Amino acid sequence: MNQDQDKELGLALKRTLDPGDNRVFVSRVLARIDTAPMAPLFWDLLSSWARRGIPAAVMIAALTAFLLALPRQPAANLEDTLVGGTDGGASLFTSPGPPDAGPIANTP
Amino acid sequence: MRKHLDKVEADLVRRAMSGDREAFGQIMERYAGSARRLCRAILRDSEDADDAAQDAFLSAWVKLGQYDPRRPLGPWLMRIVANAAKDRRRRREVRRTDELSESMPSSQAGPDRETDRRLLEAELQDALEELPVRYRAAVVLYDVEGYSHAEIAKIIGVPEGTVRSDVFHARRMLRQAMDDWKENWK
Repeated sequence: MNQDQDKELGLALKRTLDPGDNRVFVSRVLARIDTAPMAPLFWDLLSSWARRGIPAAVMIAALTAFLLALPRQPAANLEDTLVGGTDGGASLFTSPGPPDAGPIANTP
Repeated sequence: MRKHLDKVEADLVRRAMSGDREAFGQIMERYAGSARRLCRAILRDSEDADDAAQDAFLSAWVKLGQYDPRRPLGPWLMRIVANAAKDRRRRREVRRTDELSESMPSSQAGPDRETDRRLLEAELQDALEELPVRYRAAVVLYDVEGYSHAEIAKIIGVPEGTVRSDVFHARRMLRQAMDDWKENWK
């Protein structure tokens, strides 16, 4: 509430703009509400979903498009990735003896 | 007293938010006068004003779920009212009403208090007509409804400094009209 209201002017304006009895007006609006469906919950729910859902959907679409547009590299071969010996990584699984830890142990 | 009223209002809002139509009716009874006066100040036509106020309350009923109960209800509601009145004003060319001239007493009327009051109202009506719509809304919200500059800024959607300036200029012009009336009729 403000402290420096011009009370005289305020009262004169209030009288000038006075609409009279509010009961008829309130009844009229309530009658309109009665004929309208119980809209608040439905529309509020929908609009609150839309407020969050639309930006989220746009972000997901943009991220998906970005990922699809990235150049694809061929998947790395396990053989190439493992120790680059001539036997390749497969020898680890096929050799009857234990793996030789020498190359690692001798590394300075 | 005010705290008690706020508590009562908070309870009404809580009930209305859960779909209680009667509670919303009681909220309307509290704010109908302010809403209709503001619409009259903006639209200058009583039928248009009541239609706009009705639109505003229907809109408030629909939007009640968006209201934050921790904030005061008045400014939130009056913002919807101001927007409804401005929308209606944009959509429809305001018809000038002849009601005022019909209700004005003749100059031969006796100098009783009722006549004085009506003459002052007519003077103020004319002065209000001359004001830009933003001035009218600002001065009515400030001097009639008692809202602060900051609250009015949110209701009308302009900076607080603009509201201060609008209220100042509107007061000066309306005061001039009141002084003219005092000079001529007192």
